Amino acid sequence: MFGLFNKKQKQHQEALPEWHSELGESQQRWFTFLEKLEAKMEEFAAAAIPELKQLLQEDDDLYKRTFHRVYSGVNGQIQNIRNKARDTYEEKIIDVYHYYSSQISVLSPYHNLVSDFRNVCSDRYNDFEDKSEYWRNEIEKTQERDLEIEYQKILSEFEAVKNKFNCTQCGGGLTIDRIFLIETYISCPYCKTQNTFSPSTQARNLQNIARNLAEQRTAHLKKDFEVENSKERELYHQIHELELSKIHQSDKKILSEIQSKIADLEEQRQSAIQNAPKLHQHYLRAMYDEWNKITPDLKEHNEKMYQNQLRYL
Amino acid sequence: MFKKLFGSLTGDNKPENQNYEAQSTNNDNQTDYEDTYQEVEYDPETLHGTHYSVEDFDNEVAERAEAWIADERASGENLDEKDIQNIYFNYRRAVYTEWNNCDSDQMIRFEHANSLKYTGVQTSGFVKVEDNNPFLEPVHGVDLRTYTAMCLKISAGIDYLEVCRAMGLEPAVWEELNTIWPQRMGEDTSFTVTTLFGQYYAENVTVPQLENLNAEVSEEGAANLERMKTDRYFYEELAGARQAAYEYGIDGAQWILDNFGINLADFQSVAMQWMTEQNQNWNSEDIIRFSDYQQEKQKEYAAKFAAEQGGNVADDVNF
Amino acid sequence: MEEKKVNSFLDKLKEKAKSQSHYGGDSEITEAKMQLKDCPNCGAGRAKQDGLTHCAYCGFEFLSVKLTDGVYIKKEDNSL
Repeated sequence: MFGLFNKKQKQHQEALPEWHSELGESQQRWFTFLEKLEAKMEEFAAAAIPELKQLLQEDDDLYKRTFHRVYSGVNGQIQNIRNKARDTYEEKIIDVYHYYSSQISVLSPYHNLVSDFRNVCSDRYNDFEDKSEYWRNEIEKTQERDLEIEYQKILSEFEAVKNKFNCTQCGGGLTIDRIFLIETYISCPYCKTQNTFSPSTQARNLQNIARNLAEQRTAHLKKDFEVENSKERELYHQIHELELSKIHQSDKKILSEIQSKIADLEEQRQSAIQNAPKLHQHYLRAMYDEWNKITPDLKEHNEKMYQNQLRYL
Repeated sequence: MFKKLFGSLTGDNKPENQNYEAQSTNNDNQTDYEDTYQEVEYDPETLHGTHYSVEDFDNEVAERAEAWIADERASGENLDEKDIQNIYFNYRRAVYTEWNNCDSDQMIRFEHANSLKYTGVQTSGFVKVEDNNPFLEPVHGVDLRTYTAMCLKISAGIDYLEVCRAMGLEPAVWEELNTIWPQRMGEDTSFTVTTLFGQYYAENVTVPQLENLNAEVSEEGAANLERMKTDRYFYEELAGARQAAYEYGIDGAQWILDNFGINLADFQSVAMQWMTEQNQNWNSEDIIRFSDYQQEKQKEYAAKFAAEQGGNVADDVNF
Repeated sequence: MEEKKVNSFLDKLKEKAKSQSHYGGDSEITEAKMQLKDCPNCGAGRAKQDGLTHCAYCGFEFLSVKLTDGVYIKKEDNSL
């Protein structure tokens, strides 16, 4: 891990300036510091994740507010660790870098040691950030619920109550013909009296889970789009690498091979540029169709939202 | 949702407001703080300089933008709708700054004042409403202003059934209102409904039917609320504290109510007031100063909440 | 030692989250129900053909608004 400094130390053993060991020490401290923070973060997240999952199960509040408070507190600690790393990076790495960078002439043969210090430390910092991001995502996943189960409960509750009610006036049977999302009036087919029907808390919740459920059901199509969408950048970088490799190549045969490979990749890239929006649209249409199936009463509104979204694709 | 909508808002302060009004109407104050500027008089509505016509301005922008677009296309660039909008956007900034010889704050104020015209999106503090906007048609006879007044009462902690009773509505009608108005906010891409809702919220609007329906506010709570409305620093402190509370697993809205006696409706209303003022009187120096202050306070409260929980988990890790 | 810090923090966090009251109160879980509102003035029932806003017999105002086309309620539901 500290290979860079060791190697440099060997090369310039005698002539190395005094500040070099200071930078080396800072770098070493930085690495150790981040290692400890990472260990702490991992330990904390690993302990918190099963707790969060359990809390979500146990929280009988309609909005899962107890779960959300703890969730927010757990994220707060992850953020606290990240802030600690960021502040230390500014103070112990960047400030030190600027100091030496202003002290040591760019003409000095050792100037590059200063930028090496910064680069190695910043690479390490990026690794730390990647790990933090990983844990943030893992924590985020604890919010996920299997909405099919909740949806099935709503459907079976509806089956159980749809013929259960009688007119409060004449006692005639009333049929609830769909899952009402909000309170409404139902008139008796016999005496025409307006009864007021209040859906259960569970049925009302259908409105809140409908979109997420539709997204869960069409997640594979979203994935297809995302894969296609990321191809353009990947291919661009591959092409760029090949372009660079041409610079030191004089063999005409190899050059022409590279060129045809570039042409091939460029063709793939163009096709990805064409395809990605189509796949995006395909996903959106499927998601909205699914959503409309779950809550047909919201279809008119959802279709307007769909049209708006298409305009900004 | 409200946390997201209101959580990050910062506002602006009173003295700035006076400064701006003077500047936008008669320019007396302008030379006081920036003597390199020419005397420019601004139209109070459009914030265009009065020494040219809006038409001339739009033509100049179009001419420069179209020339650039033609150039780009000639050199084989593929420009889509977004690129074109960006080109116009940049030339609008350039021409405005050039013709009025102004700083970037004045330019941003101008953009806010004209956001609907140039980008199709409303900005808080500059809402322009056309007659017959279908999104603003009353729902079951209840207009957006009245709907907002009902929402304010409910966020303040009054039972929705009481609000319905006072309005002469049955809950079934309220539930329809509370479905359709939010739907319209989503459908309206100009954000007129949302921005206007925010404006009414900031004004803490009420209607005669609801005037006697008031959430209980303690004497201390009333004093704190008054202070939050007039003392921007106090508002920033509470906003920072609220944010810190959430980070330590505490419901910030409840915490503010418990400790300062201010309910969520009043808190958000004041937050909207500061945001509206900030948009109208855009001043980047003030914005940065208040935002720094809020962060500083957030840190202070975070330290306090952390201490109550025996410290942060990584407190013992040191460089 | 290390382990303890993390766990005690989590325990305190949970404890605190559970003991706090929710802003706006606890959510009530209710079953579906059917109710009837007779005219509080004359006791007459409300029939579909008479609309939702006024009592067909004594004119009592059930709803002091003019209904438009909404989610389930339609403008035809106004009493004449």
